[in-house]
Amino acid sequence: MAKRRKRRTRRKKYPIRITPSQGLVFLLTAFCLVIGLRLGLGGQSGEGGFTWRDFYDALQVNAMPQGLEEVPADGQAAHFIDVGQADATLLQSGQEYCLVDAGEASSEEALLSYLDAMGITRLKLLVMTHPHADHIGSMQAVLEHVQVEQVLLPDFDKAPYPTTRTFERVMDTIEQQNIPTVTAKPGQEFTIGEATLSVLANGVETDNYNNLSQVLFFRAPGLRVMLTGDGETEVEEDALAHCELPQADVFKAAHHGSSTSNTLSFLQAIRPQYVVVSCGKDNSYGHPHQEALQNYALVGAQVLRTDEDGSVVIAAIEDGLQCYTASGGQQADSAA
Amino acid sequence: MQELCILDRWEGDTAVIEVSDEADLTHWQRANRGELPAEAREGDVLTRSGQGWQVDREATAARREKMARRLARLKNRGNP
Repeated sequence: MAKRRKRRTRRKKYPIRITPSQGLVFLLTAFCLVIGLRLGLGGQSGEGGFTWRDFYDALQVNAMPQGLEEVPADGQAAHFIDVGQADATLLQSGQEYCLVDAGEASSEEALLSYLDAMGITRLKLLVMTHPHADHIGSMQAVLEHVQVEQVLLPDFDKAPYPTTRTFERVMDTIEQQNIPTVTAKPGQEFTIGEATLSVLANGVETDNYNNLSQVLFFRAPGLRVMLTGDGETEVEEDALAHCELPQADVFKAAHHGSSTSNTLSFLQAIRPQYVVVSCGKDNSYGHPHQEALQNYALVGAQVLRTDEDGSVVIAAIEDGLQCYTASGGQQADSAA
Repeated sequence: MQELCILDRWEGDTAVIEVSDEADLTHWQRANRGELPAEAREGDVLTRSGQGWQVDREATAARREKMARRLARLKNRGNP
């Protein structure tokens, strides 16, 4: 009887060897999976979830609004750049630009990278609404980074002269570069491409620099924007008393949406379709304040916020306005 | 230069103070309204002592005068 050979099978062991590049791919895949899941859950929960905004914040990246490439080269737009608890508004008419305020010092990277991404090397006009550091903190950097044709300054004779080193450095740079300056006065007009930036009012006598803020009106084909810097109730009352206030499609919330400003009577006079609040996430001042948000609701304005939406762009399109946000929302509205 | 502290702004009851150190690097400090003299105005030069801040009137006047001269030089150098 043939001896039955017992067959023993041995499993060959294949040790798992992962090359560094495979490990990297694996880690990236896992990272994307986690981020994707968290974003998905955040979207479903509606609020309190993890959003792209949080992701960009964590990476300290200033994302450009999605879909912005749709704005044509000869387009008209207002860019409310996410500079945290500060202000920087870029007004665009075709290939000419005006920057109103320049954020705080810590937002220099975000502001300059936004200007670079837009391909901006020259500003037709740079506006200082008032000399607080959350409006001029990166102004020296802007002056050194791009060519500025002219600077519009507030009427400093209406307040004790500002003295901070931040302010002094901006003035040093303007003087060193021999850039023409103009002090704001009601009735002035500046041409930006096909648009006009008008000074409707130039602040009130004050020892609160917020109230040096000009009331500015940007009128471009298909787009009207009202900007009042950090002007408080006194500035709004002065404008109501002395100006014929035009209707605006867009209002940059005064003083980051503070209850010191954004009075109902002012909002009723300009009847904005959109209000954009430039403020930092979880800022310690509680901006935007509830009272201001209520007033925006009372005039039927849609509110966009840089702390939630990232940078916001509102552009004129053929039959109205189109909003673009870094958080991905995109919405078209027919002109009212 | 010596440390230079200047009241940049009031945000409600919070004072936002610009502090420039010996190397002229800028830092920011916040203080409650009660820690500053009631008459403190934006642009005032401040000094620290103990828990509170005082206004340095002489230094404030000197800086306001310096900036007045600067602004007079720059004023309306452009054409509207």
